[in-house]
Amino acid sequence: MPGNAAHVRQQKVIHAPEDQAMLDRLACVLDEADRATQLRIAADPEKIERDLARLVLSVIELLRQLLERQAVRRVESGVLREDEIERLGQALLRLETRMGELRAAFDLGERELTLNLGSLGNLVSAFE
Amino acid sequence: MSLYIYAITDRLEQPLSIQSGLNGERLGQLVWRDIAAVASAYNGSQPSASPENVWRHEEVLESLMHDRAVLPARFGVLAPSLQHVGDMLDRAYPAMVRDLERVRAHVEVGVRFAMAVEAEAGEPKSGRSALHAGEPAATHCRAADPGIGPALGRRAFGAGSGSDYLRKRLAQERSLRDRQQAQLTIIREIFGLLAEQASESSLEENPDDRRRVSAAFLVPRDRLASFREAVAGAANAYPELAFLCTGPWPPYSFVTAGERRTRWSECHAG
Amino acid sequence: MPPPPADRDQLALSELLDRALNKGVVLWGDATISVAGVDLIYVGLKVLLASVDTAESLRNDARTTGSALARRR
Repeated sequence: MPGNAAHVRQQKVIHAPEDQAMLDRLACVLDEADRATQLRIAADPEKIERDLARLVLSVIELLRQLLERQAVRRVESGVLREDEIERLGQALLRLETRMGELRAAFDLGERELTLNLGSLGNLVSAFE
Repeated sequence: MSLYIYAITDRLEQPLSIQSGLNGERLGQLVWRDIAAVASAYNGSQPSASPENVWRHEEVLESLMHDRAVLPARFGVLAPSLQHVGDMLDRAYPAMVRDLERVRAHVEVGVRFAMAVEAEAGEPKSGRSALHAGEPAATHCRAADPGIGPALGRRAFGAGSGSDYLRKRLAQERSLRDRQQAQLTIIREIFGLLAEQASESSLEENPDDRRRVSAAFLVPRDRLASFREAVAGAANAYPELAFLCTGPWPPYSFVTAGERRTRWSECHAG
Repeated sequence: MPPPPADRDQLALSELLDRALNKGVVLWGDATISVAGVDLIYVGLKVLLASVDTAESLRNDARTTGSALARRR
């Protein structure tokens, strides 16, 4: 019916997962995609400090993931000696532990540290 | 005062099926040859993308779609004057006429797939946790260190734990990669099935955000019912794949006139 | 059991936002205003990836976005 506002908002979902776990996974992906959009919609001054911490830690986490990913590639390609692998692994293990502590200090979950850059997606994967 | 643009449409003699838009402002048309821009007055700077405002934008579009072909404008497009609108319609005229013809009597249906690219729900993605899976929650690291000092150098990890860590991470990456590949195959199959029911379709496999794979379909309105059935069929055939199908929408994803956003798929191919 | 109505509304809204805010006809460069950190990087990298022809329009977008943000401070 033309102009019937309520009708327009209903029935937009043709299919959605019925399993709660799958729905959560979908919601998570959508949330991440919307994060850039949501930032446009509301800039809450009280959350700014936490958002700043989140931003900074996201950048650090991004670098950490890049480093780790590179290290894993090197291990896979077989170019590293055993002692190099051990040293690299220990360093990355320390880094990851430290990251966990920083996150805990700011009460941020793993999932909150993803940097989403809109249609350019997740910067980490861009350098694979 | 600006003009808020909702859509480019056919030029028809009958009045608009809806009277007002954002902020209750009256809707009007600027006509140019065989097309029209539907707009309302807007005071102030950028309209905020609140659910209320965006749904209102959407309601106008859906109402217009009842009796004419519609090219939806992006939310928040403000024109400084009628002159600007007229110039734009003139400049983009051929492209808009083509687009209107393509989308006439069609609706957009979207499918968004959520791939499992991380560890299973509940499992943390850290390699360290994979290393100590099954051990009690008290951490390996602190056991050797009575006072937990912040300095990284003082941490004592057991011999061989570095290699273990990296090898476990490697195994994780490989298993993730395999699962992702299997899911992509299914997704492409589903996409193929659904595309048969549509006039145009697009699949965005965005390698930058590996979890996001989304498809858009331009479906003739009179085929919407069979499209829904095809979606239900796909859901039954692949219950392990989580996807969201929504619609019908105005054909946001199928307009080309005035397109400025560089789509990832275009960059990638170029 | 199908997802509860609140979830379905949220999903529908997410999908609508993705379409209405990222797609559709864009008539002028200043249709989008975004958080500075995200879009400046976005526009910068876009310029690197895009061809020379589109780079000009992207630069115009960046200028418009930049001045809009400056006004808001």
